[in-house]
Amino acid sequence: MTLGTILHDMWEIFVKYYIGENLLATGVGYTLALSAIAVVCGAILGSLLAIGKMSRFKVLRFIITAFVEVMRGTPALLQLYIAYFIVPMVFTFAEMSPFACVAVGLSLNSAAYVSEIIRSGIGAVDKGQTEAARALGLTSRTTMTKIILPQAIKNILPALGNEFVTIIKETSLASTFFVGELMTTYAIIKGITFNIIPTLLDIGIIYFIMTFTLSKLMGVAEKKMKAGA
Amino acid sequence: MSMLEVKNIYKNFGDLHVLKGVSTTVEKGEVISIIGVSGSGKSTLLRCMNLLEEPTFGEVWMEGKLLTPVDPYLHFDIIRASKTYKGLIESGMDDEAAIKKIKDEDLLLEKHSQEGPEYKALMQKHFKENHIDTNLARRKMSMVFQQFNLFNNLTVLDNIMLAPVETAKYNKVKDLNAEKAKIREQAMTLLKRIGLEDKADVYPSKLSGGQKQRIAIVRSLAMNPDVMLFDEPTSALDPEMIGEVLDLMKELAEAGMTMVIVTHEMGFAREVSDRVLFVDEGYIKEEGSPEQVFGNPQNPRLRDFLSKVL
Repeated sequence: MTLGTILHDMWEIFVKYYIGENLLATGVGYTLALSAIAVVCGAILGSLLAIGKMSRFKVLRFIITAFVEVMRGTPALLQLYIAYFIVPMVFTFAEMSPFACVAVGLSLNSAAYVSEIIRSGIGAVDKGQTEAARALGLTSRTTMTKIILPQAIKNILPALGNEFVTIIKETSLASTFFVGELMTTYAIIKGITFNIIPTLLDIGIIYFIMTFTLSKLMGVAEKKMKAGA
Repeated sequence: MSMLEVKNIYKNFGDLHVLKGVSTTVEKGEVISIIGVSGSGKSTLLRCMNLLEEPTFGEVWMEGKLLTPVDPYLHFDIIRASKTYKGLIESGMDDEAAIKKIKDEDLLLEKHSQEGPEYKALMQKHFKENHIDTNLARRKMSMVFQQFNLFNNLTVLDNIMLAPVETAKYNKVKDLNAEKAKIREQAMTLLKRIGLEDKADVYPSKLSGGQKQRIAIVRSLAMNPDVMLFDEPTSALDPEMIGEVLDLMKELAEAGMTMVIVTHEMGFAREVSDRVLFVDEGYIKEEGSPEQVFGNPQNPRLRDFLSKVL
């Protein structure tokens, strides 16, 4: 197999299946939808976890720490498997599609990472800022909302962008459950053409374009934010 | 009534005993300098005054109000109400000896209820009658830091206005907008006083160290404090900027502000202080007028220290 034939096959597969059969739109659509759900839910849940971890209640802090450590210490694929089987058992009142199960699994996984991003973002703000605010008689709540969080957000947003990129790549694991995202198209096309390498390369290029564009956009946003302060 | 009083303050960081029983009183209008080598506990003493560090034992009082929890060892009536004291008296000890024994050997039980209901009730009574919320006290006792600690996310004007505006909100001031206008005007007056009114809309990152520290000082002044604490305010400054900060502090001292200053600027301490404290190894080893402390030091450690810094 020469480089020429690979490039030729890549182009042919791309035109025939990704454009012709509309696999590009559906694949990328599902991947982005899954990532967006995981990032948004992860950010909300992760913020709650981060707040909980700063609370006075030891038991709550312990539970959150345990959750975060377990989520970070076990493979995402394993978590998705568990979500795939457990979520339908928990949500018996609704018909949970594989897509929904995977979305729940990825969201929980991302929540663990986001909570750490937020915690370290807050931790990175100079302690003197808190001391100055408290020494002026401001309450801990005012100190947090007016001084610490506005500064922490500058540490948090870029890391959150990276998490988005990571999640996009991680959604490929969902192909195990055939939910229709980009990596699932590999199984579909392989089944028809038996032409593995050009298909994989096509998919790689599409993933790369997505993540590369996203990180470039983040870079621009970051620069704008720095200029604003 | 004293402006500020620390009574028998101890501060432990784990096994490290930084303050080992420090007492002093600051009167209204007094300017006090605290000197000593690095690690002697002078900054910790200052930070205990506004409870940025909570004293392990002892009490801090400001204008007749208690900031810390009640320290039973400082109150004879509480000691006398304890079961421990009563036990000692029953065993034939006299009042004075019993109190001395209890104080020397830290005999009071940690749990208040174990010392009996009378003891517990007295502890609560003292607390209720005297205690003031830390945040309320801090609004009348501002602090200036070595590293300035201007709020990086706010402009100079907002730095100065934040605490007064939030305080107005806490106090549920009716016409907040009128109050804000008043606070803004006062902030601008303060900025004019230090000649930095053109920096009102600038962020702290664009300022020199001397400018930052002078703004930090007027940020404190905007709260109309009764006493100001300075934690080595010139130690992080380039030499050419120390003068402008010291001049502003001198101005405040002359205007009658009560000030407690931890400093390495001996010339300044000698010139503006009413009293100088020499803190060493967790104790106040010597205390007196600047003439006494600098001119005729008694403690050998102080003499040694002065010979090195003067």
